[in-house]
Amino acid sequence: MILFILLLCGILFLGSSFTSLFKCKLSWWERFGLAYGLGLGTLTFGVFLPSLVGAPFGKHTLVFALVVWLAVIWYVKRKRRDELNLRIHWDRPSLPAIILAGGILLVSLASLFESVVQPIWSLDAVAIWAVKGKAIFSLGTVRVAGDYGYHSYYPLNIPIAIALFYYFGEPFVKSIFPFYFMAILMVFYGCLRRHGCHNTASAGTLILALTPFVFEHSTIVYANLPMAFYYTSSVIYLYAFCKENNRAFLMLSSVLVAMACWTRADGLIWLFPNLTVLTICALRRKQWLDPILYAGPILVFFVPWSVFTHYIIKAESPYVNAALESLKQLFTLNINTAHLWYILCLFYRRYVALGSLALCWGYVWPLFFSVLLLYCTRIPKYSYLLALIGLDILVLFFIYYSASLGGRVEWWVGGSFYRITLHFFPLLLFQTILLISDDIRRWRSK
Amino acid sequence: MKKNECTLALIAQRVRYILMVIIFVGASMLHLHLGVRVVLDRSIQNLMDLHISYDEKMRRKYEWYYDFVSFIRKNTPDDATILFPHQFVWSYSNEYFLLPRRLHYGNRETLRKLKPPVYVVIYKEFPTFKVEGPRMIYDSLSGLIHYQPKSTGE
Repeated sequence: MILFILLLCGILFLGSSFTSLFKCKLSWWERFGLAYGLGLGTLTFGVFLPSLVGAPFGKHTLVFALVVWLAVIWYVKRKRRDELNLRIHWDRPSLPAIILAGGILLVSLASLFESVVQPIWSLDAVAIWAVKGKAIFSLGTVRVAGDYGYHSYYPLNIPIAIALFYYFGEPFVKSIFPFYFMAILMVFYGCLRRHGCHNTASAGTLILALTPFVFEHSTIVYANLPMAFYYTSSVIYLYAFCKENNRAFLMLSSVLVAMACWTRADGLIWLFPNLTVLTICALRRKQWLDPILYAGPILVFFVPWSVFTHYIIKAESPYVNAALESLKQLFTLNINTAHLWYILCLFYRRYVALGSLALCWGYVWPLFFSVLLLYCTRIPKYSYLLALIGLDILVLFFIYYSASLGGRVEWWVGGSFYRITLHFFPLLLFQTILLISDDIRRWRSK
Repeated sequence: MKKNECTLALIAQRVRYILMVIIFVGASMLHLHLGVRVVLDRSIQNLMDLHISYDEKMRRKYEWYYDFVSFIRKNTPDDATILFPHQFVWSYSNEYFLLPRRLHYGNRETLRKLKPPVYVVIYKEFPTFKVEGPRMIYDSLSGLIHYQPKSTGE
């Protein structure tokens, strides 16, 4: 137990040191949430890199990775002559906000409790993520990840994290996910707090925490919740960059989206909305360097992983060809309308007619659309964020259009549609709360 | 005229504000009701499962398969090579439970290619070919293991 707490402290220390490299105004909540996600992501990447030259997986590699990362961060900070800033900004919350925060804490504890009580049993957990982690842990090398479990081309952030936590037993492995859940709630609250009052931020965070599908994913060993953490945070900080023009936000968003690519294979497809909106923003401001800067951290994560899959474990994604084929169809305007219509009907039958949308996502979708309709005059103010959300929905359809070319769309819609929607789902709530906060602030000032 | 326009705009804003409050409060209440029910149900279930062993929880999820795979795990060494039927239904979870054993799926041809000793799983009609060596059969109803030291199967 003590060793587990030490590992957790190590991850948080690494993550908070890494977060402190970004010179932007972040609240205490955001720093704490980012510390876990960035700390674990950099640590698993640090453990993965030595495996490229054949180093075994073990406690030594873990300590080595931790020390090397901290040394690099310390060197950068020294070079930039950064001051150590331990000042915590704390403003007194109101009573409703404290009650709502209590609710969020209870939901987080319920998620942690389930991870301790229930074993790993869900389908993809045993077939993909946990089996890869267990193989790395028991065979002592990262290279076996391709041989065990389905989809050998999947990135190894979660399998390596599982292998690290296996040192302490299965309940500790499952605790990775409630911590991601808490991290996403903290970042979400912190970002909302920057735009609105305590009450709306707490209410929005409680709604996110109590979304049935989000809560469920905090208790099962699937990579979708970590992916949602990285991707949602990257979009929120990209929006902050578009709004405030502070390059620290741009780099933070870039690192987060790079870690999303390091978490799931479809991370590369989700880059498209971010890069499109960033390019438009860069063109408007005539800051040509921004998209290149944004691509930097992504390449740092992507190139070693690409070398590993192509030359060491020799794995290739079967969906790449389907994605390229559908891209070709889209660009040549040779879209298969029968396929498109079939997918739309399938979506309607499955999600709207059967009413399963509310059972999974609660009432966030109708809330988002009705608030958007109500404040349609304010769309220009949030054009960047709304463009990102719109492109995310388009990407979702693109994935299904590509999948339909492989003839497996029925199976995909049955299982993974909800899971892929989770990657950007918190953004809907984020946008809704921003629109509402605006009005509340206005009426309060009156 | 201008004053009237101002009043109309103010009324529209107020109506919008009231609508927003109604929609937000209504949707939030429905959402929270749904979410709280899910979290509470699961927490109660977890409290009831607190005293149940790991094996029992797994048996509840995987039914007979968990005993079957536990039986294989107990009776084969860690470095064993095991042959399963070609289209074994639970192949997706086999690796997780039987790690670090090497698992293969196939038939007589696959068995010939493997370096002995190989453990061949007896499942339904499988194996449909002759396998030399002793047999162990687990009876899931009685929990007894039948051991046939010299038996060969066809």
